[in-house]
Amino acid sequence: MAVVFDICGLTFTYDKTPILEDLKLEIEEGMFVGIIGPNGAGKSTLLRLLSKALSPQRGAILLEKTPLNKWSRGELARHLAVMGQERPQDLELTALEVVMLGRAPHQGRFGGETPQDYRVVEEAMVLTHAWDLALRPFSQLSGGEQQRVMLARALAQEPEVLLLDEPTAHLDLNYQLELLSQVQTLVLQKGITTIAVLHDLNLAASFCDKLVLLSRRGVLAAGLAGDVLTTDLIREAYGIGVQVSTNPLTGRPQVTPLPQGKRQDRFRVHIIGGGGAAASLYYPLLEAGFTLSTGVLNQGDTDWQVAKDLGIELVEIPAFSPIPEEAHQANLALIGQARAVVLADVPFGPGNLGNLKAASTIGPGRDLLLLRGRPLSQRDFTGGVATQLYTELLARGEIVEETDLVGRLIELDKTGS
Amino acid sequence: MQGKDLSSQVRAQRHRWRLVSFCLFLALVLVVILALSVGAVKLSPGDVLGVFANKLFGSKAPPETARIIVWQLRLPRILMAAAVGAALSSSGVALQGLFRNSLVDPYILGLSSGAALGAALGFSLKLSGFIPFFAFLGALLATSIAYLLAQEHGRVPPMRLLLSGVATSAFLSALVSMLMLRSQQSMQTIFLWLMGSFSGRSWPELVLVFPYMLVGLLLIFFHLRELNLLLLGEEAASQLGMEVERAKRFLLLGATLAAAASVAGSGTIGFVGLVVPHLVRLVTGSDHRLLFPLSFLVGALFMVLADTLARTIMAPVELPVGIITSLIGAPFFLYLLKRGGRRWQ
Repeated sequence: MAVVFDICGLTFTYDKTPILEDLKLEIEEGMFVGIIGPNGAGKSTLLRLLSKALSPQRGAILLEKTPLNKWSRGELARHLAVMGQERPQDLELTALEVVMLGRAPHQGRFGGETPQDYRVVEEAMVLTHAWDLALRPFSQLSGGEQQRVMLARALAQEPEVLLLDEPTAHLDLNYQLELLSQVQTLVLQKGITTIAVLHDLNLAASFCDKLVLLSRRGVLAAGLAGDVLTTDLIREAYGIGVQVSTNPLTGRPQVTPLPQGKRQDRFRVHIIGGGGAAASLYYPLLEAGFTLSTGVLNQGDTDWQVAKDLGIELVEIPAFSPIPEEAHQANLALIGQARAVVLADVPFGPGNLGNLKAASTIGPGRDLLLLRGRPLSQRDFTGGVATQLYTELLARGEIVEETDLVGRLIELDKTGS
Repeated sequence: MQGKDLSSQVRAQRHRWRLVSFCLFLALVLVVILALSVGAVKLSPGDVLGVFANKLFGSKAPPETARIIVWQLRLPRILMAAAVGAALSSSGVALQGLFRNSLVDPYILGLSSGAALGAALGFSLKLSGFIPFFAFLGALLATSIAYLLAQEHGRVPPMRLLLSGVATSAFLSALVSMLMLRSQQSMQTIFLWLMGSFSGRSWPELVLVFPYMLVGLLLIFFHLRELNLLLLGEEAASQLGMEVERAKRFLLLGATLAAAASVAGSGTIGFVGLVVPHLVRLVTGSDHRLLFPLSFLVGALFMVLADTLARTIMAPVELPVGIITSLIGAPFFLYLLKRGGRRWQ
């Protein structure tokens, strides 16, 4: 696939503050590329560099294999359109007149608009659903309507490349979706390569073909949404913990920021789960500052999914398979590192009896907490073996209500240290 | 819905504006004829036309007094008023567009104080004959200083230019005040000059200032498209293919030449360059291809009317025309603002 923008060694400094350093990036033709990253990462600066509104101190930007500074302003305007963040104020023009300004690069100094200009403007305004607004004064349109008109203005340039700087800023959710799906349509139907700075990671993930994550003056990751939006990369870029799951409807990653209270460092807790019994324990414990591990979990189990999404260290095995020795040993190793072990309200069958056995290996000076739940008789599918093991465990550990679990562990953490 | 006939609708609208411009031009001609006939000696419009017919087509000679009054005394003065009105208004259009601020007037960059300083210097050096020349130089100098002070990395951000203009203006005004205090006897002369007047303007003065106005207005006229693009902001304009800094320099030069020539011709007449573009914009909207010609015509019309009032309402005493423009202009302007007369309402 042809490369539209080839950026190499790009460095931009503003008043001695480096904004971008040695940035390297390729943008392929016909892609909808989303640029994401925290404030101050240089997203808008990158876009302004690409539109020649700024010039870099070092490095090269090739547009269609030609250095950007070899493009004249006029040529560039016929090839590349920008929709900036700025919306014109105090403008006594109709929407149509605003869009018509987008024809400027194709017009001579004198001589008015040609029928061709009107055709292009109409097509652009129809595409962005702004045609009905044509004769309304721009200043009296709502934010969403103004944004549609500005998009039409950019399209009126008949560009091959479209740069959008936070096109959805200040828009209501419905307008955000509408605008981005219009852009998506343009990319698909007209093959316009589009680069958009976006704030909302989930919108970026669901609309863009490729994502570029900027952080600390450079590209932290670039590629498919699934490769860019990971817990680790997002923590590195934004410094926050998030849960990344897969949106079941779109199959694209979905990012849920986790509340960012100041966390205390607490001891390590191993949770024995399965069958969805532990899913609701993980997050409150993480939030309280405990370091968690869990296992052994079957892939596809709700507990497994949640632990994965939360990035908890775990021992996993294929769905419906019994616990192999190797996994059992891994589980024992995790238990060995933990200061406390929590046994959730798990049903036991021959497949996961090993988890119960593992719990009983807990060493001296460690705490074993058994969550009160259904009586074991209702969740023993081993013909009594589980019940017997459980009774032995009762002697070693204490029974805790689920609502008291966090509090009890915090107590243990305090007395322990 | 609005569908296919939109471009014809726009074309009809443009046709309507052409008609409006033509009507304004006719009105200007009528007002000029009227202005030529009123004054200390009343002439009939027939007498006035007779003088023109004789000059242009060599028809039978009119009475000598009528010929002198119309051709030597009133016509150059009225044409000067028209030219100054048109130039100040057009200059206002360019600067309001350049700064994207409809409260800017041609004097914002220290042009009036520079002119005043030049004139005051001329008066105190007893070089009364060279006052227009001094004023013109002072005006150009003041704007150049403001422009150079505002430069930053080869660019001139509008806000910096505005602020450096205000500072330059304040500084030069202080100098003018000092000069005025030093020579008490010329104080009233300078004060009257500052108020602006067309009294006693003759052909040589008109011929002197006219070329500068023309060059200034042409420079603006060649950049109307750029003024429209600037409505979107400087960055957006450059992304639409415009060489922003170059266009700004030409526009600034044009506006300054036109306004400086006006000031040299008539002193610092206030309010016209602010009110006329603003008023016309309320009716036409921001498209400079309409705004410029209509402001040009309305400015000329307004100034001829104001000057005619200035020399007739308290005859034989003549009022400085600047008083009239402000007395009429300000309340009318406020009325328009209150009414919010936009074309689409």
